[in-house]
Amino acid sequence: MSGNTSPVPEEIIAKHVPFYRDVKILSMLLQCFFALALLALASWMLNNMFQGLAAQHLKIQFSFMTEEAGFSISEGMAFSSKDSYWRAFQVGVVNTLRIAMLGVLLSTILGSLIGVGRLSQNALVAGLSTAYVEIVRNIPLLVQLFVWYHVLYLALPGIRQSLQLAGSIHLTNRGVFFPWWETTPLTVRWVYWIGMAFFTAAGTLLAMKRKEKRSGLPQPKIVASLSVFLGLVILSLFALPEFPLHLSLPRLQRFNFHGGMRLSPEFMGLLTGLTIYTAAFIAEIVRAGILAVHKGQREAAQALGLNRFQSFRLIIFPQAFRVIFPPLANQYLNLSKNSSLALVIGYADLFQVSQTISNQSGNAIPMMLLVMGSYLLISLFISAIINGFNAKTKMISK
Amino acid sequence: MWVRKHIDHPKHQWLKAHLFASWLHTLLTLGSLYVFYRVLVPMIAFVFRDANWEVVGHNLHLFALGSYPADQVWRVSLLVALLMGMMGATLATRTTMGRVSGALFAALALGAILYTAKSTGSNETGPTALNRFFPISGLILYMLGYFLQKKQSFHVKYIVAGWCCTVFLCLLLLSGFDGSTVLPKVESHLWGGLLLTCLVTIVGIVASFPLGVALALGRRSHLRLIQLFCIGFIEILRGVPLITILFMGQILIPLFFPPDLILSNLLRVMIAVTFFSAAYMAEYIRGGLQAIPSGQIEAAQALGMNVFQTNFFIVLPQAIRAVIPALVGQCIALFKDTSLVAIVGLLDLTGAAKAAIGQPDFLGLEAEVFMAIALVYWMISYSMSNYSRRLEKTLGIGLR
Repeated sequence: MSGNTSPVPEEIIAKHVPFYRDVKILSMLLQCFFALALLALASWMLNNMFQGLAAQHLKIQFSFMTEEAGFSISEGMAFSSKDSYWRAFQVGVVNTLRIAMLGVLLSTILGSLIGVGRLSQNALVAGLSTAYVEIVRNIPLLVQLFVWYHVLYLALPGIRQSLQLAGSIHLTNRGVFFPWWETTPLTVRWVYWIGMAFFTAAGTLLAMKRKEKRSGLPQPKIVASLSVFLGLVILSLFALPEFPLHLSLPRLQRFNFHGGMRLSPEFMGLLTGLTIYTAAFIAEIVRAGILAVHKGQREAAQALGLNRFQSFRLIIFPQAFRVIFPPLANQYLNLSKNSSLALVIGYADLFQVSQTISNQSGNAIPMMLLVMGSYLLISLFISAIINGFNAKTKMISK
Repeated sequence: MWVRKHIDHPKHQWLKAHLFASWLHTLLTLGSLYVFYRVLVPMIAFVFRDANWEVVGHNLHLFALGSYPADQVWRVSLLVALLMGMMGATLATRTTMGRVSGALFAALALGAILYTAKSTGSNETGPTALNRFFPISGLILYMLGYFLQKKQSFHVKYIVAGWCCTVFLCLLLLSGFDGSTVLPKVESHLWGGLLLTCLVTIVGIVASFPLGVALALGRRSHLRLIQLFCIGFIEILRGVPLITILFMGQILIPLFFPPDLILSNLLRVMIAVTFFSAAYMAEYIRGGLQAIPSGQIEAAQALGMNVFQTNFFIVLPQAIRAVIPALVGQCIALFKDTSLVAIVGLLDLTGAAKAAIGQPDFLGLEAEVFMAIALVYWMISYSMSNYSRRLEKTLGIGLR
């Protein structure tokens, strides 16, 4: 905030201002002083640290990562205790990304519904949505996670008395079991078909866009390309000798369910907690975004003869989205960071696995550096998306 | 607002307009009623019929104060009284308290007072006259602070200074002194419960505010080196979860200092929380700094003010005023985030809940314990957010 934008020409400054009042020299000196102080503090601290580490015969190195882990992880990618620490870390990273992506998807859907619900003219819906937001936002996520995990998922009945929902979904205290598609030898061929259908649909979309531009008349480009895609996929099912996927149902055998898909109580607890907590914040963002669109816009859309859906899709949504997106992406960032609370309910995410590795191998500092580096990468990735979006959709001010 | 509002309807048409406007709305109403029924009825049945609230009643001391010695509870009552005085003065500064937040706050204060009255009353060894006096003095001080501030309207800087002094006094009062008979030393690992939750929050906010201001100014400085340092500090701390910073504090802080300097677990946690909060504060304050028109700075320079005068008398007061609601929001977030200190072994409200669940007499009562602490967390942060909303209105920020 200092004034090096002085209107006085440089040569006059050089001639008349003594060096101890020259802003340039002063700022240089100040920075040198700052750097020296910082260096002194850092070297003192690091010196203390290395002395302390040497006293405990510890070193900061990453070579231990190739050693055998000696513990097992039941969550996510296949992992046995014979695999390396490095492999364990990878499993943790994948588990974090898995929960973050699912959480982002589900909380966006739930949050948008509740955000719109708060604006509903239906008093009951609005009241219920408001109550949801006010209750969920003001209770720490950690407490909510405990509630979902201990009070809901671990309190479900055992394997034999499982709570059965429609479509052979089984809720038990060992996780949620539900039917899932399994791949067959035909699946690979089917994937080729889908790829072909996708590219054909994309080609249709491009061609329609071109035609739209040339003729100046709106073309049903989305409908056309979607129907091309779906048509080709359905055709592929007839072309193949039998259905390319095999539906496997969970079946109770002696001690456990076999077949189908299992989601552990830890995964379900974390996912439920993160989704419900983040959805409350997203609801507020969506609500604020919709309210930020001036009511004249909506009236103008009505005056132009657009119906409710058209005015939402063409007028309200694009303007609201510009307001909504940056804080929304921030919530995604928060969700990914909050997923580190997996530690307290024992879901094997990046942080929990790293904690196990660091306890087991005694290399706390390298593991901490790795963990922080991974979270920083995730943050950087999301903020790069935000910045890109902001640059692209910035309103051009007059 | 583009949402249609049916204001002009007569009263008997309210139901039709707000619940059964069309078949879609009727469906929504019925759906909401169903959700209400499925959530609320089991909840009420649990709270009033099935729950075993003995676990909460038995552990009240644990939830409120952790393992703080029972014969020293009067110190906490005094502390609550002091804080309530400051609270009264703060709430009188800008706005009248919202009805809801006032009621919630009063309920909470009454609970704290009844609790201290009960636990100190049963204990005959302490100075009983004082014990009876402190809980009442809390309310008196609260009203005193409120009306004094209403009448005198001290400048905000005195309020801030008052908070800093009070927090310092509270820390002294809680920890006491070695060998003193009036205030015997109480080691910090004995502090806990709601007391610790509030303490970590308040210390975190009070300590992180100046740090946040410094970081925000540094980030906008023309001195490239300082700017780079501040950007790095802020972005690294904001880019990682609080829990990693807490663990870093646990591991690195003892390593950074000579081995003969032993920092207690609580102190390490407070340092970590302060750094974390400062990074967020800095970003909010930077938002305020960016909103100051450059004419203000140029005018200050034209008046012959130097860099410090410009920042402290012209820029910062305006910038901070613009971001007060965001800062209150940060206080609420920090209050909720302090629950994470339970993971690094402190006995705060969440830690106390975990300890209560582990008691062999009360196995399987997770729902009751978590419900109780969730209610306490909710009451405090809801009244804070209510206050923040009113503050926003009275300050006229965010209106277009």
